[in-house]
This record gives sequence, C-alpha cells and structure tokens, in this order.
Amino acid sequence: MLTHRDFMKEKPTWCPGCGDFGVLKAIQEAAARMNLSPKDLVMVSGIGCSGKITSYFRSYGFHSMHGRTLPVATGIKLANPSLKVLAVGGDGDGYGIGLNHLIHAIRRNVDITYIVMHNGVYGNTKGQTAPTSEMGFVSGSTPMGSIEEPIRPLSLALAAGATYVAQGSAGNIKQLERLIREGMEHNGFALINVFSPCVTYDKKHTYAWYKENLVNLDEDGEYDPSDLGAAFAKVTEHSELVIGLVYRQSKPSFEQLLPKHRFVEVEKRPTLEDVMVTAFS
Amino acid sequence: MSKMKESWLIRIAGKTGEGVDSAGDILAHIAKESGLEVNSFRSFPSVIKGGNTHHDIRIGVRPVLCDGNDVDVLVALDSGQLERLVRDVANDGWILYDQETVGNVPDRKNWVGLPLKSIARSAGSDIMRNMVAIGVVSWLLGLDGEAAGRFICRRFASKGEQVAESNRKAFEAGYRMKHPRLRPLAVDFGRKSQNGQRLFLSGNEAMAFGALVAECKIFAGYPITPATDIMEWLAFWLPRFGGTVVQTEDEIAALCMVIGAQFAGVRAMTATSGPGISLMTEALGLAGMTETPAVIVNVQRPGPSAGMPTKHEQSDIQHMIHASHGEFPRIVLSPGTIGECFRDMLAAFNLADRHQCPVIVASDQDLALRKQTVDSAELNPANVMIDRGKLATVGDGFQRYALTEDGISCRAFPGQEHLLVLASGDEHDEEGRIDVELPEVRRRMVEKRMRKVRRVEGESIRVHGNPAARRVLVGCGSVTGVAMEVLRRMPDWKYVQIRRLWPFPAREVETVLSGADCVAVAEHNEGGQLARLIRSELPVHDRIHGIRKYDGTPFKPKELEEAMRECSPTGIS
Repeated sequence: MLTHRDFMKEKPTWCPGCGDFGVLKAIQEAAARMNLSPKDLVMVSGIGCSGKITSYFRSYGFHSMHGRTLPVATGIKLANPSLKVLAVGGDGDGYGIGLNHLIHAIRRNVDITYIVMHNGVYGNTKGQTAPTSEMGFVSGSTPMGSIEEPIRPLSLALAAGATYVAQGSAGNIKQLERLIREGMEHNGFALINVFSPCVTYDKKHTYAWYKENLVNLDEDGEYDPSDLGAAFAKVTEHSELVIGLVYRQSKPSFEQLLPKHRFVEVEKRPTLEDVMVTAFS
Repeated sequence: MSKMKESWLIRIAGKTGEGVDSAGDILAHIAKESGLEVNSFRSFPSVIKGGNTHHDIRIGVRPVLCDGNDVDVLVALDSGQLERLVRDVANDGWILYDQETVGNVPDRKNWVGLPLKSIARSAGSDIMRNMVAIGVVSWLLGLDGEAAGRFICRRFASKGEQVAESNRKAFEAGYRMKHPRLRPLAVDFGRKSQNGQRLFLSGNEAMAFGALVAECKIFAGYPITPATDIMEWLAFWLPRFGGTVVQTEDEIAALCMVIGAQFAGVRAMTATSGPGISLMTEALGLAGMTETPAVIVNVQRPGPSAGMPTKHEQSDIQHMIHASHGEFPRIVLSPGTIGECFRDMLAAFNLADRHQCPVIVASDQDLALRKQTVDSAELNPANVMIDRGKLATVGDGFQRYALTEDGISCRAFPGQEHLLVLASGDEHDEEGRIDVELPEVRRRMVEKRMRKVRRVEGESIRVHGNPAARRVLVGCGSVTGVAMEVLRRMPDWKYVQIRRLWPFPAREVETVLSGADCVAVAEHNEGGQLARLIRSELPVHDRIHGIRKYDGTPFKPKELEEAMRECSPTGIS
C-alpha cells in the first residue's frame, strides 16, 4: 500500500505557512489512496510559486510555461491515454494568461484533472494584483486599489460546459483530498479550484478568514450537484465562496470520441500505397 | 509558335465560387492522364465568393517546375477577368471568353467568343461553364477526349451519376465545338518524357504524406492560409492510421500540445504560417529548453501582421532562425521541390528525435500550393528509416539531462519504470532540478544544449546545373523550381540551393562559392534575409547581388533570367 511519502521529492521552498503545502499534501494523499504508481502519473505545472510543485511531487513532471499547462497536459494525455495527467497551476496562470486554454480544455473534456491554487495575488513576482484579486486590492501594480472585477472561476467553468467542478481549501486537506481523488476518477476534465492563502502578500484572506466565510456544500443535504441551474444559483448566492463538489455530469471524454476509434479493425485501415493512389493519382 | 515550345500556360479566370479551381484541377488531371507534365498554380484573393481568381495550368512535355511567363490560352468567364489579365497573354496566345457574359471586345483573330453559358445550360446547369471551357482547351491541347470523359465521371462519382454525366456532357460539348477560328496547339506528344508512375500533388500534400510515413501520430494546429491543407489532409488520413488531429484554440496551444505529446514519446507536429509562427515563438523556447523534439512546418506568406494571407513571400527566414528570447539549438530545413517536401518531413522527425530540439521545415506559399506531376519514386514510402535517437534503458544513474560529449542525453517517457523525468522550462541541472543558482551549472547546461547541433546529418546544399559554372545563383524554397527552369537556358550559371538554413552549412557554401565570378541571391523579401544569412556566416562573401521580389507573387522564369543577366561578373552590390 502506498502512502503520501511515496510521492514526496524535494523539500518545498514555499514560504512557511503557504497554502500550497496543503494542496501538495492533498494531491499526495489522493494519489496514494488511489494506489497510483508514480511512473503512470504526469504532473504538469505552470509558472509562479505554484508551478514549482513539480519539483516537490514524485512522478513524471513537466514544469511548463506561464499559462500553458493545459495544452501541454492535453498533448501528453492524447499521446498516452493510459497515464493519469494532473495539471496544476496558480490562479494567474489559469485565469489570467492561460484562460483561453482553460475554456477550450473544458469544452473538449479531455480527461485531465486541473488543480488551481487560488491565492488572489501574483506571489512569485512579489505581490501584484491577480485576475482573482477583489476590487480595491492594493498592491504594487494597483497602488490606488484594483478597479477590475475579479474572475469568477466556478461560474466560468459551469458556463463553459465543465463536467466536474469543485472547490476546496488548503485549510481543509481531508475534503480537498476527496475532491481531488474524485476529480481524478472522473472521466473527463475536472476543475478543482483551491483557496490557497498567500501568507506573505495577502494579510486579509487568511486561513481564519476562509474558515469563517466559506460555505461547505458537502454539508448541505439539499444541494444537488447534478443540477446545473442550482449550481449557478448557489455559487452566485455565495459570491463563489463555497467549498465541496459544485457540479458533476457524465459525458464521454475527448479521447473516447476521437475519430481514430472508427478505424480499429484492420480491414478499415488503408496502406500507404492506398493513400498514394487515392490522394495523388 | 516555335516548334521548340515545350510548355503551354493555360489560365482559367473567373470569380471565386465559379468553379475556377475545380476546372483547373480537372484539366491538370486530364493532361497528366495523357502523359503530359503539369504545374498548376492558383492565384486567389482572401474572398470566398466573388473575388477575382485564376488558376494557371502549365502543361509540358518535360517536367514543369514552376508557373510560366506569358499565357498561351486565357479563359475568361467575365469581362473583369479580361481587363485584369489580357496584358499577360502572349502575342500569339488565345483569348477565350464567354460571349454571353462579355461584350465589347476587339475583333482580333485570337479573341474567340464562345457560348459557354448556353452550352452549359443545355448540358444541365449554367454553373458548368467551367467544364465547357476546359473541354475547348482539352481539344486545343490535343488531349484524349474519351479518357477525359472517364476521368470526369470518376471525379464526380461521389455526387451521383446524374451530376457526373452532365459534367461529362458539358465537357464533351466544349471538346467538340470546333470554333472556326480555333486551331490546335502544336503539342508534340512524341517528345514527352517517359517516366514511371506519376503522381499529382502539392507541396503541402507531400509534407502531410511525409508526416504520415514518418509515423507522426498527433497533429495539433489552427487553420491558417496557406498551411491549412496540411491539417485537412491529415484530419482525413491520420485517424485511419491510429492518429489524431486536434484543432486548437490558437497556435500557442498547438505547439504546446505537440511538445506534450513528444514528451510522452509520440511523434507530433504542427503547421502554420504568418501570425501563427509568431504565436509559436514562446513554445519554441520551451521545446529548446526542455530538449523536447517538435516538428513545425512554416508556410511563409507576406507579413507582417495579417499581411497577404493568400500570397507569396520568403520573409520569415531570419525569424525561423532566431525566433525566441534566449539561446537554444534548432534546425531549419528548406525543401524546394515536391519530393523534398516529402523527404524533409521524414528527415525532420528523425532530426528532432536525434537532436532533441525543434525542427522547422520552411515552406512558402508557392511551394506549398502549386501542384505538380512527379515521379512516384520521389515519394517512396517503402524502407523508410525511423530513428528515435537516444533512449534510456532502465538502470542506475539515469539523468535526463546528463552532460555528454555531443550534448545529447537519453530520453525516457512517462510510464517507464525507474526513469522519472522532470522537464522544465526553467534552467535545470542534469537531474532536471530547477532553481539553479550556480553560474557553473548554468554555463554547462547552455553549452550542452548548444553543442547538440554541432553536427547535423542530411543534405545541406544542392548544386544544380553546370558544376563548373563561375556564375552562381543562390536560393531556397520555391525559387528552386524557377531557377532550375532558367538554368536550362543559362549554361554558364549554376544554382546553389540552400537545403538547410540552420545550422547554416557555412563550409559547404563557402566551397561551392569559392572562385565564383558572380554570386546572386534570389529571394522573396525586401531586406535580403538569405543574403544577410550568407554574409553573416561567410564574411568573405560581401560581393552578393540581391535579386529580390516582394510583391506577393513568385518569380516568373523570365524575370529571374533578366535579373541574372543584369548581374555583371565584376559588379559589386
């Protein structure tokens, strides 16, 4: 039986108390409980504090570019569908520079689990405003306060047609582990947005603040995560400050629908000579 | 017309949506089936319906390698085409026009009005004017009308017997029209070259086929003129060979998916043009830094920005060699013929795997879109060598980025036991660990990567024509076809085709240029990008004449010939 230690590599260099420690631990626990072998797991990360996670997680890893985790992860999954592919990045990575890719990855429903470490700030460049920062957020890039509305990742994912949407908190590793595990077991694209406090550059959104302000959907017996309308209503009602499984639906994945599956039988496959005669004569 | 005439240029002109493309394509096939050689070239606007378009079908008794000079037969479907194109017609050329849509024409012997519309209508539909027209042209060329009819039936078979039959009837009515003014062109079929089985295809198609034969399994790309054919061709064929085409949200995603797939051990590629290659610049560096193979076809078109999407240029030469911040090794191949388009794709995948770096295959609009008859031996899919380069075997001490003499380390793929790899776009050490602080490590890793392409195998230059000639024309890509034709008339010149733009084959070029009285570089850009490349790599060669065209159209043989004649042996540019 594997434990989270089987997925430990280098010692993280994150600031002491960083929410990313909790996210890493939850991923390691989930992989261990699923009994996944590190050789069959690929973690793809982006740039920023969160992007360094591939150095701390023992598996195959691809530390890619800012915002490009999802296309890299898609290429890996299409090349070898038997691999479990985890894409991990920050909120600037996923909802800023890489947002275009997120919407299309959701739309394609490639079987990738995407974990976003949401801290509401650009930590690795020393604390500038992020696309998730709230109105009025004061930082080096917005000294007079941010005048832009933050991105709403959950509503966005629901509108894009996501088949698995969950939100967790680095302060609740037990629930987060389950959300990640279920996301990895889900057939298709899974988005798990995780509030991961930046203890250095955001003194407001602390563990305590999240604990006080987050509504746990998993404790709401009335809530039906298969009801898209209810999901929209719920995340809107609470300004996206919810945790738990937000929405899940069953649909074939992109890989399952690929045209190549129609040519599995040998007699349906042409030879290269056939191609030359058909296409070029 | 001269008895020595070896090729005839037929131009079919109309509005986009009127079947100009398909008529030209059918005429080309009919000529091919009659044993003639064909080069076809489409000139089209970025307008789907109603823009002016023409399709040049150049037919010859010897291999035809480029579009021609003067038009021997112009078929004009409307008066706008006549106004636009009449000056391109040779003095003794025929001008055929639809007399039912074109009025007020001069009464000259070579102007022939034809009732294309009413003949088409009696065959079934006005739209088949194009078929009537190519019937007339086929008679002029002395092509086999029966065989042509059979080809047309085959071509339209998928649209039902009735459509096929009415198209055949329209063609036949044109073929049998025998207008009193028309006399057949003197095509001497006896002189046609006797080759083996011949194919008819474009550079784009040859590249797509090359990728298929090279066992490429994933194509990720975004539609862009003039590279889209590659994607569409593979979208049809690749799934039949177990592969996948993904239409991505942008070119950034396209190259990133290729890198992901290659990291996981599967051959993957993308193809693009203009703005697409600019967007891919970021991921080029990722492939370079992570030492991941990637194959990128760049079909050059006029830039910057959107430029002229449907026209021709070779103005990305410097971009392909330098694009990206930072330094990393890359290989840029430059095919110039249809056969080379095919073979360079095979080479590109092997080189990418061997050197673990991005390989760009530089095409251009003319090379990509013109279709030519080629001997099937030029595209031989048998006995193709697939070289995956250095691969790790299970054992202790595996380091993905181990420092080696040639800079190339072993690759391992996800799923393999005991070989966990971390690839990173951040600088890393031999193990792949990031947060490198030691200057020594940084220096060693830079040097390791850069020395990977110190020795690259494969054709780097190709010399055409008289090897002893002391006048040298240098070019690459589609210039090759034009140059080869011009050399037939200029025996005191040789043509040096640059087959690999990067790493630049300095020694080979230096050798072939040594002792030259005159060096001229022909290319399609204003700044002389190829000439600058030669100068920067061979400082001794400061005597270069620039022959440059950047109006969106390829060199015509006579233009290149005149420009070469103007280069005096002692002239210094």
